[in-house]
Amino acid sequence: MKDFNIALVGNPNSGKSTLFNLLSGIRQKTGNFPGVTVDKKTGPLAKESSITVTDLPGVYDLYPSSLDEVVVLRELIKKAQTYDGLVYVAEAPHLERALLLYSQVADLGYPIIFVLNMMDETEKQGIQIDVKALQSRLGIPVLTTNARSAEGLPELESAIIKQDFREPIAFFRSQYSSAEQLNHHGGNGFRSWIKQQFQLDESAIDKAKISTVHASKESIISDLQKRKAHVQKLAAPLFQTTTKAAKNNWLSRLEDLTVHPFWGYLIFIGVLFLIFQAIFSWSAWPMDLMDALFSTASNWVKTTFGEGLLSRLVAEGIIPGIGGVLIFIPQIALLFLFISILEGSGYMARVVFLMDRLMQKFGLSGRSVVPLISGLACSIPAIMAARTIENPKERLLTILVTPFMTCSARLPVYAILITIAVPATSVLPGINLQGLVLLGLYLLGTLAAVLSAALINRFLPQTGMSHLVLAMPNYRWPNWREVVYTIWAKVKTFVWEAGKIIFVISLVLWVLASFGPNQLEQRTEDYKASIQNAQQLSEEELDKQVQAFHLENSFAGIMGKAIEPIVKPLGYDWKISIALITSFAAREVFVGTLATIYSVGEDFSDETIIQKMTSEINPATGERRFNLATALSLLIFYAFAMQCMSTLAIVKRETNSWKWPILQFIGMTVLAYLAALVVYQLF
Amino acid sequence: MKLTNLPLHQEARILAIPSAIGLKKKLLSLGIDTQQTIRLKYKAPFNGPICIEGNGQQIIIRKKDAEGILVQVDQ
Repeated sequence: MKDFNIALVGNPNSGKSTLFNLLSGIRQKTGNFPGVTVDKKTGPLAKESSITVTDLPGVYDLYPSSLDEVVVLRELIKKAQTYDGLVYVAEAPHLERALLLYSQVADLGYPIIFVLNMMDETEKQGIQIDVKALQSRLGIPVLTTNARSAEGLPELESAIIKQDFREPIAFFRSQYSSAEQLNHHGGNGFRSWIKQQFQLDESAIDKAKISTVHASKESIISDLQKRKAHVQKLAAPLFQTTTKAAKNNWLSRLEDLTVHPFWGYLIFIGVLFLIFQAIFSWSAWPMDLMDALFSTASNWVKTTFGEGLLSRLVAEGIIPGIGGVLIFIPQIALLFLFISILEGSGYMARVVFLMDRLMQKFGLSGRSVVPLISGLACSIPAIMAARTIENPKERLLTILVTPFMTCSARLPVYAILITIAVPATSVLPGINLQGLVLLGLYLLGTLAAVLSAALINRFLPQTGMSHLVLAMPNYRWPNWREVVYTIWAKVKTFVWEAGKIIFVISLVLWVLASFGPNQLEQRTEDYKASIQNAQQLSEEELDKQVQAFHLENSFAGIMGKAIEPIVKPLGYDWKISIALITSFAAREVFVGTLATIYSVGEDFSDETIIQKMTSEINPATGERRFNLATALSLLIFYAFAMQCMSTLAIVKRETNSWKWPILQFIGMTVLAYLAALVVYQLF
Repeated sequence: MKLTNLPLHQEARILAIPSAIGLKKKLLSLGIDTQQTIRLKYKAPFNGPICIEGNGQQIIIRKKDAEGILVQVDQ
């Protein structure tokens, strides 16, 4: 059988994605539409792999005023016609609304199968739809389904396999075909009309450079009005109210409660707390387990294959590199479990309703709240979650400022520095100063996020329309199959797309920390021999001293020493500089690196490293190295600096450019430097 | 009167929707146009968005957008 491409088209919340999951199953792939970061889901039909199914974003009409709509228009009018047939998915309870978009798609001239989905919902409302009459009006087969229960799926599958796509009765197509237009573009008059209205040539369509300003034109509005009047007339006689629907009191109570000026916010805070708690603590044990698994694996490699270069590459470079990618899976999975429940149940629209005003003040959207709060656990899933924000500018802002939120990787760094520098005196009964400082750091991160959003907002050009019009879907149970597919797709995307970059960078950092110039291996051996003779050291202590010497003279160590003059005004010496450099892999590496430099070994207990660091003397002043000023300056530096290559990798993927992660990196690091400088000089 | 001045739960008929910012197009494709009867269902606090019910669906509109929409309460 020849390859056959089909696409699913329909309104948001029409059950299109659920049908897509049923049709393509586990072999689906999530990527981006070319040139834009809008999810493109494709997959072979489960029953017939020569047929490829694409799930187009849900839209209400073809005249684009948002990025999703640009994508749909582009996919449907580009010259190299990608789709041999369309499955149009209409939500039975909102058939009239669905027919508006359908009228446009039908005028484009695609062969179509019409699917009337969610028939059970209209039946529950006591409404019957005359499917036969609809079929004769449209001139194509109409299938009925309930995507939730997979009812009607076999019929749909066999219609697709039989390629039972038929050209529908056009609505207004003939009215667009002036002779002159047809001469110019040939073929379909409606296509030419759209291209003319949006001033599109082929290259603009290819690059998705479709300006959304045209969507407000008089001609567009009157076209939509004409279509609306027509489909209203078409749909009205199809509906028949059979029984009076029993109003669902339980649901409407819930509805009122979740948007209530008091209870609504309380419920929302509860939901946020649950999400935060889940990512923060529920993910701890699978992450610890994975951590243990990977360190066991690398120890096994080292002990089995010895200390050769290849064995070390595998044990210290490759295995931790893969581990560093996979460790994020529990957090990503948990966050997307919640997000797909919030989206699938319809709660996300209520969040927008409640939070939009507050977030608007900072140039963000009501939907930015969930990514920002998730950023308290980890920026990576949080930034991936920003995809739910439709407005490109609000989404970009959210991505740029989310890393300011105090993520869980900063906690070990904060914990150790606070223990060293801040006395555990109690300020008030039950509240000690250390806890207060930690709380302050969380607030500082949140403030930095929203204030920098407000600042960057002034410099970013407005993209798309800034208004908010959003259909608030009725509450319904999330579809569990869809929840599982969402999690699966997000995890897979992260591992393949961001994983490669993270893996490469962690290898580079490993090389920098493991190798050095001037026969470092030889020098290390000499050093080992010299201290072995000079001092009576246990085997273990000797190893630690040697490791410290090795790191100090490695490329990373040399880089650390090289930047010492730059970070000296912040109160850091070369040892801290090395830790700063290695912690670009991930912030928590800071603690491990200091442990190595102070030669207390990797599996230190907190006591030993804290003792070492506390007793460290600054030779220049004769005072403690980690005095209050240095510790505070470091705390501020870690609060602001972008020291997480995994986040940079995910920003690169989500913004589809190197420009934003680089600017973000520079901006956050400069801010961190200046803030740390001020703090150190003040104390 | 302005849609935003409508009392909660009050039904009214839409007289005008400003077309300049693309609001009209978005509402149109959701099936809301002038002459449509709607009801103000919710108002978010602190000048937040409003939620109207009309043509069988609920629609959230940001307050500054909704201010341009004119409605009339029919007796």
